[in-house]
Amino acid sequence: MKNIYTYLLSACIVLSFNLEALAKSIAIVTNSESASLKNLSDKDLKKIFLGKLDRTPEVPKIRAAQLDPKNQEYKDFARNFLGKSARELRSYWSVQIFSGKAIPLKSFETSEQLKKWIENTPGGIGFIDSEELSSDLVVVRKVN
Amino acid sequence: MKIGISVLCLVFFPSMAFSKMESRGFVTLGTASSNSDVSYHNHIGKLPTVTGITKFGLNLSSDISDRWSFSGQLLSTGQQDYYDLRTDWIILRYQPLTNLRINIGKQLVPLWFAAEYIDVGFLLPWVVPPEEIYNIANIKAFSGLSMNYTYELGSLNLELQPFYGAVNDELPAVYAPDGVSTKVEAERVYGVSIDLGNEFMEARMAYVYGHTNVDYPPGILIEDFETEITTFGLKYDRGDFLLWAEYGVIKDVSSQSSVDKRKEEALAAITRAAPYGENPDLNDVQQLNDVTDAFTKTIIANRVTGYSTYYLTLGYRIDDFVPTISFANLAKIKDEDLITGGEQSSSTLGLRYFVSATSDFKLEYQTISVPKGSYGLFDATNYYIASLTPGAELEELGDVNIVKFAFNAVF
Repeated sequence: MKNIYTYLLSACIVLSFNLEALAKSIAIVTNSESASLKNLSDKDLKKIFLGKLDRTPEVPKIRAAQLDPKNQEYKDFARNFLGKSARELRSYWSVQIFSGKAIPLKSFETSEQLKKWIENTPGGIGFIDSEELSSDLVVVRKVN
Repeated sequence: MKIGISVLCLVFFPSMAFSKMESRGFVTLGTASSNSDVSYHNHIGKLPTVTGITKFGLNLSSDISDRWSFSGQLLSTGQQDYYDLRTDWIILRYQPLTNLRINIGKQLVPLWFAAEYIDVGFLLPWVVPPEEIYNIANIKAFSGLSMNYTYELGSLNLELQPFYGAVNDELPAVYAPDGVSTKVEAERVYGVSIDLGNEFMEARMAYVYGHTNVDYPPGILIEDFETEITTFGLKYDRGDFLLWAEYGVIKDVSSQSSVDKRKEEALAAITRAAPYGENPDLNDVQQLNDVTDAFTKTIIANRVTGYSTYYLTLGYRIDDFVPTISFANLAKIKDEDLITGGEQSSSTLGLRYFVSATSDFKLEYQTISVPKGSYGLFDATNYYIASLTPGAELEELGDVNIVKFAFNAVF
């Protein structure tokens, strides 16, 4: 009987490590022209991704973008930075869009596409897997 | 219509690149059926209907410059035999400050919580919003100016939305046959909505005044109809628990001369129909028209003297399922002014199942109770005429059961 408990405990530990491994470390990134966005508080950064903040004195137009919701990064960013489930975040944005209160965030299928867009877009900001950072991007915040 | 929107934008903003246009959509495929011979709001009767439930919408939006943007929505609503297509709303938006937005164009009146996305079934906890409250205003959209101003009050967000405009709209009539519209004109509509809340909780108050001319089918014109609607709401949605509750009061504030005119018209129509007695020959078109005219004008002359209405919806999430229970009530404010009334109450059990993060099924079972002498939100004319049919047992509607079902998706 003791062996069964030991196996069960081991299985739980292995499973929890695996689940931990599935959750990705996320980085909010921008381009060098908009590096001042690093100085924003978490609260203001959240507002950007909820469509409630679109400018600062240094960046006249902030353009937020996201990875397609089917990506794990979207789910992790929603949960760990915005405090919402992916479903809640999509629902929030649907209300904003279909009531005419906001224009949808630009959405990209892959991190490569998103990174390229941020590099070339004044005020561009988005979130990617921390392991996919490149030297052309400025890290605004790391989200674990 | 898309061409119209594009032309409009190209005229005013020739530099706008339409490749930047974002498009989203929504669809609801639904049906409803009741156990009553008298048809309910949006033609719900014994024969299953899709009217007013099945919908398809296309939302287009684009930034025009750093401060200017536009959004528009096309809406196709299912009728029994065809689909009605209209521009639901189209807004040109100017944002001089991050917390101040000025909206110009055709906009939905922000009267209730869901008023600005009322046709997007996936965003609602019901198959259709409670008719008792979401049906009492005959103004859905106005053309004019509005402003959204947001202000942080500690951890709460305050949003003010004053608006002013006019209405020249045609909406599918909820009681007349398919293809017939109710025409609403308003030389002025104004009001304000005030929202206070955070990500999980929202309290709301709104006030709307409208000075309207309404052409109800079949050709019943009501002029100089002035109404005031005041609403209050509370919404809570956190974790597994959700609550939506709203209360509203609608008052006829027409001038005394307008009220007197409506009563005179109703009296004249009653006088025309009087010779037919209590049992008109419904096969005689003239008699049928005169009786219907008299009955409808009498109802309208009295109908909106004043109503109070509310609903409460509670829900609890269990994985992908959300069972809900709703109670709603529509009651007249003053008994003495009403010959017949639209009072009713209802209770609804619902079950929502999320198929995915962007689609769901909803099933509802609603029981509507209509007090004696009232027709609730049932087709009053239909009720009246049906009650004249020999052998009919329709003098009291009593309790009526309705089943509604819908598949909803956003994409």
